[in-house]
Amino acid sequence: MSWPRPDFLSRGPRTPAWAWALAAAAVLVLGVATFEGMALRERLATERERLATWESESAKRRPAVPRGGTTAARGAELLGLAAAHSQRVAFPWPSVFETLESLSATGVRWLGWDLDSGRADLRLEGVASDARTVLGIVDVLARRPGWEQVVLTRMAAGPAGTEGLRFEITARLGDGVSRPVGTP
Amino acid sequence: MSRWRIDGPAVRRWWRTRRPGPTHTLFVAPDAVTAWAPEGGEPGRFDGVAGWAAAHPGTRARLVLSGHVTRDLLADPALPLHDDTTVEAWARHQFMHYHGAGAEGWPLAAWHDRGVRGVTALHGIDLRAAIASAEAHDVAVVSAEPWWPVALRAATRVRPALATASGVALALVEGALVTWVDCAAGRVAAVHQRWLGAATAADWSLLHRELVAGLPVGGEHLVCGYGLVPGDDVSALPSGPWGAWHTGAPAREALGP
Repeated sequence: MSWPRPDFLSRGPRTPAWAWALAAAAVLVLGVATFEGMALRERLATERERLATWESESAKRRPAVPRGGTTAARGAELLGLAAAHSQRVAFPWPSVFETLESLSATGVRWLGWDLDSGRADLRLEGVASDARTVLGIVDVLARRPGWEQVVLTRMAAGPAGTEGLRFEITARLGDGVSRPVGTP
Repeated sequence: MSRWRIDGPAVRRWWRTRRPGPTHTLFVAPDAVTAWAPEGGEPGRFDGVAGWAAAHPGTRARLVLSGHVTRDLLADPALPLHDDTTVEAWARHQFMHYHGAGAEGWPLAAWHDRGVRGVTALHGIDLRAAIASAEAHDVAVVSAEPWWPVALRAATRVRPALATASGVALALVEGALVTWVDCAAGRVAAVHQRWLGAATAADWSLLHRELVAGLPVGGEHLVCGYGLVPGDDVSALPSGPWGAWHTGAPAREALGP
């Protein structure tokens, strides 16, 4: 029986069951989201509190910052260290190593290279088969561009049971040492 | 003070309109309201909805509107009126054409039934004020329907064959006003309102003969009514639960459950 039903208070079609189910699900999701949001908010407040505490304690542990001339002196010292480091890095190491390696053909065995890069003083220790070879090395180094004050400071027989002569050469490395080996 | 407040009585009224529950039935005529309690008993008579609501606060009611306060139009199925808004606009134009500019503000209730569209207009009573007065007494009004579809459903409950018969008519006599509803194969085909010369059984008999003559062969009809002049001889009219000829309102059975 489906006779007309004109109604002056008609409220539209009846709400279907699935719409109520959807509304209930939406309310549930909203409730969970609200609960989660409140929990996160509480956690955020806790974390902020912890951060504030940590910053406070950190500030207490931090040493007092030096003031006035002390700070300036420390700055100059740091600048000096930085300059020395920069100079050490800028030293022409490849050229020096190449020169010494080229002498290995004479049979010399290098025991130590000691360089003070600040003053460009080089001290070499090695073992050669004989004095002639040692002197030849001194001559070769002395002719290298930039190698100055090449001096044989010690030459003696090695410990008992060993062969060859132990020697020590000092030199001062000038500006020309940066030039490629072999160039005049 | 918050601007957002929950209107407790409004929520309760909304809830009462949505769920089934004991409902008072109010038959609304231009000059009186006849009310039946859900538990039965004799009807009460009131000056208006407001008077009844004042005596029954916190209850739930449905309004059945007398033919004296409604007008009906059925749209020609050939017209391109495919939704309630369109058919109401068309009907308002028609009502204003026939009843003047006063019809511009009449409340309309559109309906459609398997290809047939119609509109009922309400006039002569202020429905909005009636609802407001009911709400002022915390009364939830669940519906406001014209009498003829209510009577049609009530009649079909008594005689289910009405919903399938090829030619059926329902005559609702309300004093000098007769509403004649033509139905075919379970669909409303026409709703006419006719006036008697006087609210008497004799005048009704004359019109009755005329209307019945228009029924198809084998068609049947029911007569239901109230409001004939006191003392009039109604022995020729149907009696029983459908005839309340000397009272001011229909029988309760003609107003549905």
